[in-house]
Formats: sequence, C-alpha cells, structure tokens
Amino acid sequence: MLSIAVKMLLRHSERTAITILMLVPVVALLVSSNMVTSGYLQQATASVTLVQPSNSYIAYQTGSTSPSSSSFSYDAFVRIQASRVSDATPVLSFQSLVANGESTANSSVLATDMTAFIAARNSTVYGELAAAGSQVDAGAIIAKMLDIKVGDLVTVDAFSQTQTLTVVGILNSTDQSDTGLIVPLSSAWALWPQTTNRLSYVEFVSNDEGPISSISGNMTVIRDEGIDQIARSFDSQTAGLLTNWTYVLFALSAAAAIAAASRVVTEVSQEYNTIRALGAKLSTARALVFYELLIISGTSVLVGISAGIVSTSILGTLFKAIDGLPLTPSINPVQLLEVGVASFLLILGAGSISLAWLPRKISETGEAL
Amino acid sequence: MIFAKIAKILGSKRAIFFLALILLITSAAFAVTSSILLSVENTASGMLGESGNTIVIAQANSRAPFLGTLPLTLASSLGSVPGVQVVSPEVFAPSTLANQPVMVRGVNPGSFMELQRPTILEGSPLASNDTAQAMVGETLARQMNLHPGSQITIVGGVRATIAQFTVKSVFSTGTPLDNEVIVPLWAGEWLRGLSYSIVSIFRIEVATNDSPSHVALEVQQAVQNASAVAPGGGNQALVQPGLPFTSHLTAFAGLDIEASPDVSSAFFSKTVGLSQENILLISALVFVSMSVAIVCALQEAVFRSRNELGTLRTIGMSSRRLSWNLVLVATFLGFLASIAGLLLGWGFLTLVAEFSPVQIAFYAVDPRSAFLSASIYSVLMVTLASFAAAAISSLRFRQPLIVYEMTIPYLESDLGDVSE
Repeated sequence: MLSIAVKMLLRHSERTAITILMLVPVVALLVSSNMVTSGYLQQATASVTLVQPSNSYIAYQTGSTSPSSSSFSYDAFVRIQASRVSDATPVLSFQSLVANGESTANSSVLATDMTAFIAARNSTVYGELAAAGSQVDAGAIIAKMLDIKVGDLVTVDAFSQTQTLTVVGILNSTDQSDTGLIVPLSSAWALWPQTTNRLSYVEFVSNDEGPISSISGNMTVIRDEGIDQIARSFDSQTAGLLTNWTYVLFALSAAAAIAAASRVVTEVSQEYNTIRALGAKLSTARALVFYELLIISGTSVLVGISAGIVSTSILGTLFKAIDGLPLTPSINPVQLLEVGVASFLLILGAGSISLAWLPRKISETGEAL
Repeated sequence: MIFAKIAKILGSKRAIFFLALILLITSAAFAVTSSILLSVENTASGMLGESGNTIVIAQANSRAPFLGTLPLTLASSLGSVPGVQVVSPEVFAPSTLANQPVMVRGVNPGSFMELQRPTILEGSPLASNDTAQAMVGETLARQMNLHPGSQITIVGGVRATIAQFTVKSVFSTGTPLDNEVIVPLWAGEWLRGLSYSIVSIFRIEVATNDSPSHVALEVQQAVQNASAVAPGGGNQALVQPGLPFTSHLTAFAGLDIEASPDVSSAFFSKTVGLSQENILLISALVFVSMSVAIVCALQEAVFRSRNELGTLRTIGMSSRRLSWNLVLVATFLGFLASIAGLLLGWGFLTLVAEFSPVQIAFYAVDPRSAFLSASIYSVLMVTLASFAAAAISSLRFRQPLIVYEMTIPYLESDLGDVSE
C-alpha cells in the first residue's frame, strides 16, 4: 500500500512538490521561532544564575507595613545577634519634626549603636559621633535642607515631646539615614521614654540560610538588595512573552495545516474515486489517501526543520552583520524533535479529519459511486 | 448581481469556511503580533521620558542610557543653550517593591513637575523639602493598590540598601513613567549606588518654536566646549549647594554624551533589534508563511465550485468578468474576515492583559495600546493577500472557452491537457 502511495505521489510529482512547499514554511516558522525563543531563554536563565545576591538582611516584626513602623523588644535583637549572624545593628526609627531656627522639616530620628552603624554603612563623619544624651549627628541631606552646621542646636519634636539637641557631627552615608538625625540608642530611650527597650529593625549580614530561617519565626527577614529578584522577574517576563507568541504561532500553524491537509485530500479525491469505482474497499481507499498524507507530512516536516534551521542561522548572521543585533538562536535537538512531531501530528490530524469527510461527500454527490 | 451569484456559489461550499477560518486566524495573528511588538516598542522608546519636545542627554559610552553617569554640574551648561527651557536631572535606580521590580526615578521635584506636568490623580505633588515622600505612577499604583499615605519599602537593585517612603500622590502622564516611583534626586542616588551630584540623565524641554534635533546638536556642542576646559571646569557652585562634601565627578573633561529625542529608541533598536522596521519584518514573515495557507484555501474553494462557475462561463459570462467578480468576492471576504479577525485578536489581547500581562523590564505594556495601528496593517495585508490569492486562483477561468469542452478548466485541472 505504501509503495502504491509513493508511486501515486511520484506520478503527480509537480502537485506533490507544491503541496510540500506549502507546508514547509509553516514548519520552518515553528522551528525558527523555537530556536530563537530557546536562545533568548537560555541567555536569560544564564544571566539569572550569574547574579550573586547580597548577604545583607533586615529583620523586622511580622505584620508591620514597613521596617520603620515595626516595634519589638531589644531581647529579639540579642537573640538575632546570638544566631551566627555578623555585623548586627539595632535601629529604632520614629518620625519627628526637626527645626533649626526658622527652618523646619518632617524627618526621622534613627537611634542605633553608633559604632556599628558607622562601620556597617561606611559613613563619612564630619565632626564627631554623638555620645552624650543631648548630642546628635545630622544626616547630610537634612543638614543641607535646614542649613545645619556642627555646633548648632536643633529642636526635635516626637511623641509630643520637644527636645533640644546639639549637633556634634554631620554624617554622609549616602542612604536614607542622611535625611534624619542619628542618636545613640540609649539617648533616644532616655529622651523619649515611650521608646524604652524598643527597636524597629535589625540589620545584619549572614552568609548562609540557617540563621535566616531561625530568625524568621515572628520576624520578617528581607534581603536589602533586589538584584536577584529583578533578574528572576525578567526571566519569567521573557518566558511569558515568548509563551504568548508560541500560542499565536501554534494557532497559525493549525490553521495552515488544516488548509494544506484539506487541499491534499481534495486533490487525491479523484484517485480515491477511481479506486472506489474499481471496487476497492472503503478502508483500502482511505488507507491509500492516508499513506499519501503520511508521506507528504513526513517529508514536509523534515524539509521544514532543515529549512528552519538554515534560514534562522542565515537570518541570525545577517542581523548581526547589519544591525549588530545579538540574535543567538539555539539548536536543541529534543525541542526540535518535539516541534517536528507536533507539526507532523498536526498536519496528519487535520488531513485525517478531511479524509473522514470524503465518503459521505461522494455518496451525497454521487460522483464516484 | 453577478457578484452576489458568485458569492452564493462559493458560500455554498464547505471550503469557503476553511478559507474564512484561515483569513480570520491570519488577521487575528497578524494583529496580535504587530500589536504586542508595536506596544513594546512604544514603551521602550519612551522609557527615558522622551516626547515631542523633550530630549535626553545621556552618557554616550555607557552600556545603557539609564546606566550612565553624568555630573550634575552639567546642568548649568545645558541651561545656557539657546532654546532650552527646562533642565531636569534624573537618576534611574532599578529596585524592587514587594518583591516586584520597579524603576525608581530620582528627580529634582521642581524641574520634574515643570517639565513633565503630570496630572495628580490623588494627593499632592512632591516638594523640594520632602524627605521620605514619593509619587507613584497610576499603573504601578493600580497594580500594587497604592494610595496617598501608603508606606512603601524599596529595596535597591544595584546597591544593598533600603529606603522607606510614604506615598504622597498618584500621578498620570500617559507615558511609561506611570510605572515608576518618583523620589527626590538624592534618594535615587542612594538606591542606584551613586554619590551625590551624579545623575543618570538630563531631560531637556525645548521651546516650542525650536527644533529638538537642532537644540540637541547645540547641546552636544556646548558640552564639547565645556569638556575642552581644564579638568575641574564644572560649576562647583551647583554641586548640591550646602552639602559639606563634593563629588569626584565634577569635571567635564573627556565627557562623552549623546543628546537626542530618540536615545532609548536608538538603544533598543541597537541592542535588541526593537525597531519599527524589524517589527514589521517579523509580522511580514508570519504573514508570508500564512499566505501559502490563504492561497491553498482559496484554490480549494474555487476548485470545489468549478462546476457552477464553469456553468456561468458556458452560458455566456466572459472569463474576464468571471475572474474579476471572483477576485471581488474573495477580496470582500478577506476584508470581512480580517475585521472579524480583529475582534478575535482583541479578545486574545484582553485575555493576555488579564491573565499574563506583558511586561518589558520594569514597565507594564498594554498590547491593546497599539491595536489601532496594528489593525490597519492587518486589514490591509489580509485584504491584499485575498486579492492576490484570488487573482492567482481565477487564472483557472482565463482560458478561452471551447464550445465542445463545457468544463475544460475542470478537466484540465484533474486530467491534464485534454486537448491532446
């Protein structure tokens, strides 16, 4: 049966070639898109694995909207410090109204272990570090905004209590602490008794996940650098976009497969009718057309895959040469096999559906029998 | 009349539904592809905040325009260029907010508001004395349910630091900026890991009666002139006055900048090939692949109607008239199917926007934003393809009619040359 189908296809070689040529671009488009998307995804995934996340963390009370609004006892800091982390720095943060003469600004007070704070943030100190109860260091930005200089007296209004403090230094940490006033933790607890023994968050460094999971009981721990999250997110965005694109391509391929397979069946219907008229069984006639379809689908897929690989490689080289475009298609044999089998089944399936309609049509029109 | 008759003949065959289906899917696929790619390109090309009369100054030899560094002191040189109305120094800080990537833009509130003129939807605009306040674009605010008063913790993507802000307002610009968090300039500098007095870009608003391209050239020239001055030639007075320190990057010597209304567009075109031309090329490749299916389906429809069409030919209709009407019917069908395909495409894009939103880097892309222009391309292409396919298929009826061969096209098609 297969040899008869081959002979019939060869007898109408021009028609067979045209049909195959119609199917080849569809398969080639699928292969080409698969190669380009694989290349992009491989690059994106490789970029994600190259990203080294930071080992700096912030722990604050679970349920708080932000680290600054969190509040927990100093004992929690002691537990964190004891859990194999390094450079643990306690921070108490609260809102305040800061005034220097006539100038005022809404700012925050950061109460901390001054030595640990300066070391962790690589701060530059202009003047001295606050030590006594009424001493304060001003962040570089708030100092600029309120024209604060070393030696100035500033008033700090927080928790309905106004305190007058002496600025003994200006700190440039190039972070958010530059917009606030920095005081020793003990000073803050003494000046604003509502804050006694309370902390907002703890900054620490940890090189392994063990301590993080032990801290995470009733504390939220966040990494203070999001590059790994950004990379992972970009990776998933790319994958999502390419998946949508693949859906569109499969819809196109399915439509093209239906059209082409239907044409194949229509064209061989004359031979089908002749065989039926000569007394062949319905199953024999159908099998012959099915074999023809099988050969056409197989050939189209093989040629399509080859055409897809060659055209993508050529286009990739051309794009790179002309635009400097980094189009790096990837040949993944397993994926190519999957695309090939999917295309083959798609064409064969569409043809089989058209084939199923043939006998009914013949009996209705009476063309063959 | 003949048009209706031929339409009725073709419409009575099952093959015409195949053709309509192919045309519909092709139109939808073309519209979806073009729409997604065009909207991504629109977003990418406006990412830095360029518009008709706004040009961007970026470091020319940086890996990307938003990764460059420029001295803030350059602002005075830029401000003195004729035609420049507003200079807005800005810092880009890729960051995360609630584990989602967001782009934070550090700005000088006054210059930013004057140049961008955003519509404040809720709250009040950022002021120069705000220390821990931020403005949030409406798209981001909607995605993350943010309103004035919301507390946000931004984690630096480049430098290990966090910054906590209170949302002061939600704004709308109708540009990719609606996906960003706008903070004071120094906050952008912390999160980006830059020293004070260094920025990523300058945006310049050009007077309405000046050409942006001309002003961009003038700006290039002004910076070159400033670069020629001895190292340290920057205006030290402008280095964030009042700060008890200065930046190392205050000199212009050796500074290489690019000034253009199309900085990000050129960047994305160069690095990822995201240009209008390439987008149309990709869409055209899809279309060419599908045109084979259109020709196939139309030929089958004509083939199945060969007897009826042959009858029309034998009762006296000229081959020209028959062919022409066939082409008209197919073109009209192509037009209708392409319009229907647009509805299908719109539905697909709505599903995509709802369940799998398109995101390019930090910016949400609504693929429906470019649907109008994509639709025009789609309808034109599909209708033209139908016309071309019909013209090819109608060749079947262009042979001269021989009286004793009533259905000669049919016989020739099926049995070869019957005249021998």
